[in-house]
Amino acid sequence: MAPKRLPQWFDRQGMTAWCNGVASLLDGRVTLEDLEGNLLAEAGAGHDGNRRFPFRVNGQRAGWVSISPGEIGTVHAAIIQQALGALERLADVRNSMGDLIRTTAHQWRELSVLYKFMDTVAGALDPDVVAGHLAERAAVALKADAAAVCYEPVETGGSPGCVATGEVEETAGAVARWALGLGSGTIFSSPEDLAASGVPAGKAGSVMAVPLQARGRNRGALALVRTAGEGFSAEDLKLGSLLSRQTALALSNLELVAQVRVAERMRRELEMAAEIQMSLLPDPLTVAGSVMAAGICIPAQEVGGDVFIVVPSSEGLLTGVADVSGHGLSSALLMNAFASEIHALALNETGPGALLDATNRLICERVGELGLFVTVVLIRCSEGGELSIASAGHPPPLLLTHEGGLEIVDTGGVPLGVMEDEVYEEVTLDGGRFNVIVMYSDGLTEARDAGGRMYGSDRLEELLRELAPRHPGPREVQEAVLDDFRRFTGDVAQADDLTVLSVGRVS
Amino acid sequence: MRVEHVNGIVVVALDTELDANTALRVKQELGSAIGDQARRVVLDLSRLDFIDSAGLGVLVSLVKVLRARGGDMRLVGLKDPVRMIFQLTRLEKVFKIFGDREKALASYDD
Repeated sequence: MAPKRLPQWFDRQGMTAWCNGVASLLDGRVTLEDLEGNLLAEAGAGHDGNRRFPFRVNGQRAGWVSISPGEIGTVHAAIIQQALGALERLADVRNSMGDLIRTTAHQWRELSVLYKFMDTVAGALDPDVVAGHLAERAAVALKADAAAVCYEPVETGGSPGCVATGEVEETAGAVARWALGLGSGTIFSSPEDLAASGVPAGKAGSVMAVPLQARGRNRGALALVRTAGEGFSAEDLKLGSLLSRQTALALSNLELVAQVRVAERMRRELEMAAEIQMSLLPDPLTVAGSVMAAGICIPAQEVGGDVFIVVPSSEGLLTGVADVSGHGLSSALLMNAFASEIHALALNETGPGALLDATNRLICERVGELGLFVTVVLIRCSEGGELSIASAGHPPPLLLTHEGGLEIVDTGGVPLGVMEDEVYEEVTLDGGRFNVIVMYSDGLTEARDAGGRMYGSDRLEELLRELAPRHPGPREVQEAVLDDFRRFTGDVAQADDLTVLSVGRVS
Repeated sequence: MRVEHVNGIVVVALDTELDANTALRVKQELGSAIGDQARRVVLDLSRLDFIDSAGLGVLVSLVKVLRARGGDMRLVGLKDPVRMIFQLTRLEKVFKIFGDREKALASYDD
């Protein structure tokens, strides 16, 4: 016969229920006492218990069971043995439950600390604030006399920092700085341990040092100091490590935020540079005496690329197209420098060859050992009708003749910025032979259509050969080239700036 | 890229395109492959179908560095489209271009 089933909690109620069960089975009286003889529970009526049996909890004697009736036969003995066994198992269960509750309560506390901490840290945008939160929370949660958190800079050019709090904050600070290179969290439980490991902990009794590690790097360290009393436990280290990890992630996130800010700033600067670039271009149409220049520059997505040059003077008109290598800010700056220089020098009536010699020296100085270079073609149209042409690595200009044909002037040296002592030769032609001169950048000939085919110089030459017999003016030629370009490329966005400049006599 | 050393000459064969997308990376890798001391380089461009101004910029930069050290660079293996771009920009005046590796290496004997 099994004892009556007992409730889950082996408390006073449970113990009384057990006594009731046994008492009713034996028709007697049952009492439970602890080791000091204090009554824990009792049940039944009748004689006083006259047999005492010890009962154990977790293997250790915890008290006495007294049972009556007086004569205990074999059956009674069997029942009593079973009942005692059940009592002991239940007491063990109760203790385990108690332990479980204590552990759960402890973990709950840990989690609460952690949640509250994460909440504050996640919203902070300043690494000093993040470090401060960790130092304060850790000191309170882990009952430290002092806490310090040191951290590496979160942005390039930023400074590292250290926040300390508590009675012996200098000691904590020194330990935190020492701990920046630690591989994992460590506890030093005594002054001897500290001395043996070379930790600069002054008179501290016990120290916990935890590196802040996230995304593959140490970003700082936490140090906790107790001046006296119990050392830090493994549980303490566990909580300290959880808090440190969250802090490290927060610092890592701040680093990413800083990088995004830098990228944003650069993007805005590029946009501004593009605007400045466009504002430096000449008017789309310039007339100087009897010469007219029609130019256009269609920028691609990014900054830095082409310019066309139209500078009138008392002697005539300097025209040209220039193209800087690469994209981005350094290319744009180089082009700005070149364009300013050309405009300044052109006013001195220098011929195109000399202009290229001079600007080449400037560009070479600017680029040093960088690979940037500028291709240029310059043509000066003098009022008297002479054309002077010089080129630096640029596509050759195309000249529509009076006879209705096309001439290609293939001359020139290397791009500007490559060879310091390059001398650029000039070719002189009788302007009277020509109607229109076309200069362009390779953004035109290297443009691609939806099928990936290139526009190409052949197509351009064919177009102009067809046009030449009709003796068009510069604007007509300009429009024809752009129409053909748009027909060819359709909607396809181009990777390079496109420039076309048509120069001719005003009809 | 494949790097060999032949008689004190660094021979590098590029294995990717050299354009705006790859320029920075290739420049860094070439820098490491050649190092601070080497003066003579042969660059094999036979895997290039195309080159743009960014790519040309890498080569210009490299030849400047080498010439500043008293050395130079040879180019081999230029396919037609690449050769044409060197012609159009007249950069073939700047770079010594050879038909094959052996001639390029031999050109350093003097």
